[in-house]
Amino acid sequence: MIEEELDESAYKVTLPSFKGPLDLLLHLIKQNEIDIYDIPIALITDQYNSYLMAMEELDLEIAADYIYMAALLIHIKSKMLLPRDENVEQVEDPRAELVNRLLEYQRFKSVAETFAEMDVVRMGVWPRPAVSHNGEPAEIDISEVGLFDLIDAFRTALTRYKVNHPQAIELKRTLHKVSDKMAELYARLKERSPIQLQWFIEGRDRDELIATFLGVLELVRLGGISLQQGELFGDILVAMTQNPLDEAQFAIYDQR
Amino acid sequence: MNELRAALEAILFVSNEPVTLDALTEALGEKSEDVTKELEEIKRALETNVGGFTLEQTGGGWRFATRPEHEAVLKKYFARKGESRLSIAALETLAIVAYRQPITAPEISDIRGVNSTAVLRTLLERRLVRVAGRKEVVGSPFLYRTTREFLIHFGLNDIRDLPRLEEFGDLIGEPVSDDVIAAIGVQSVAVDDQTE
Repeated sequence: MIEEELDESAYKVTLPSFKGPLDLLLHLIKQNEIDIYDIPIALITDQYNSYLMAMEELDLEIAADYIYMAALLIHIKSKMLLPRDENVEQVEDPRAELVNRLLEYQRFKSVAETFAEMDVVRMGVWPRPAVSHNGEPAEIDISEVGLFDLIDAFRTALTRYKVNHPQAIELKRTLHKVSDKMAELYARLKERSPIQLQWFIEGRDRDELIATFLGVLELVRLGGISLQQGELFGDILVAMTQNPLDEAQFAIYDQR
Repeated sequence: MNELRAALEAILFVSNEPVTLDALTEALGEKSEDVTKELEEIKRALETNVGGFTLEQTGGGWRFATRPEHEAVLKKYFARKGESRLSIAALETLAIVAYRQPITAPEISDIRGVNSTAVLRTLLERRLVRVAGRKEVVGSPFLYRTTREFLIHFGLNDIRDLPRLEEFGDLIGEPVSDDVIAAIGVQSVAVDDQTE
């Protein structure tokens, strides 16, 4: 079964990806080396439709926008077949509006290409990160820090650990106890509070980070520490609360 | 050491977003020509003496920023993948908003020939465009404009720094006729109060 599925995906055909019907039309015009001011509508309509058929056969979803353009092409084609009314002096070329749209789109397409080049360069330019200069960060309770912010902080540490320790060979498995992490953080906070959570969790491996994460949550639940964040997505600060904890009780969390 | 230059460096060092000339002039109580001169001087010095960062004028202000050459090392150290590059669809949409602002979603979709609401949402999320009121037509659709973030992202100091639309070469053979330029080109670069 699994092999069959693999086979199927191996034969996937990719069409040049078009950004829409106008893009496809421009492609056809370029391919046929056609003068855009004198588009042979019959030819282009046929080719356009055969593209749509190919897309259909390949089970690609054809957006309504493509169908609309197909209808528009046929409409223009039929208008061009109509005999000209001799009495009306100047009849507007039925293709004119489409041509203008194509030209306009083409222009923005090239602007987009320029933007893409700028985007690549500018992505490499990093500004100084946001920091708060209002002195003490405003105290915000745990509910505002949010579990996801906390998870993010741990994820950042985890990612950096992975980057800095590629293909680590695990020789021995160290068992990390939640209680140890609780005690370690608590001891650290006794020396100095608040501290940045990121500093505390940096450089630890996955297992240890998990134990640390659970430890932090337990300490918050016990009311022994509080988490603060000066601003949205800012660094998380850990501080002691007024409520002292009995460190002996940390051990019970390992028995669960 | 030039005291004005030192003071400017101190402010810029601590600022995390572009600081306007007005703000600097006011804070330092100096003439804006003198401040500009010193800023240019700092910029020139940083560019001659190539280091890890430079001073750039962007989004209507000045800021220190890294050079593109250090992207890889920064990404590695900060274990960040960085924001994903903008898709072609997003760039097309952004191009249209930039030159035709204020513009509604249906008008954008019309130019691109495809429904552009989803792309527009991405651009809103990345704060490259913003809603700037509603158009007084049936359904009162939202009008969109580019943001200061847009200018900063593309390293533009002002929306007028965008190249004129006519400079974007014309396609397939034939030069664009004056009529077409008149029809699609020139009214474009809407000068807008971008900084607020």
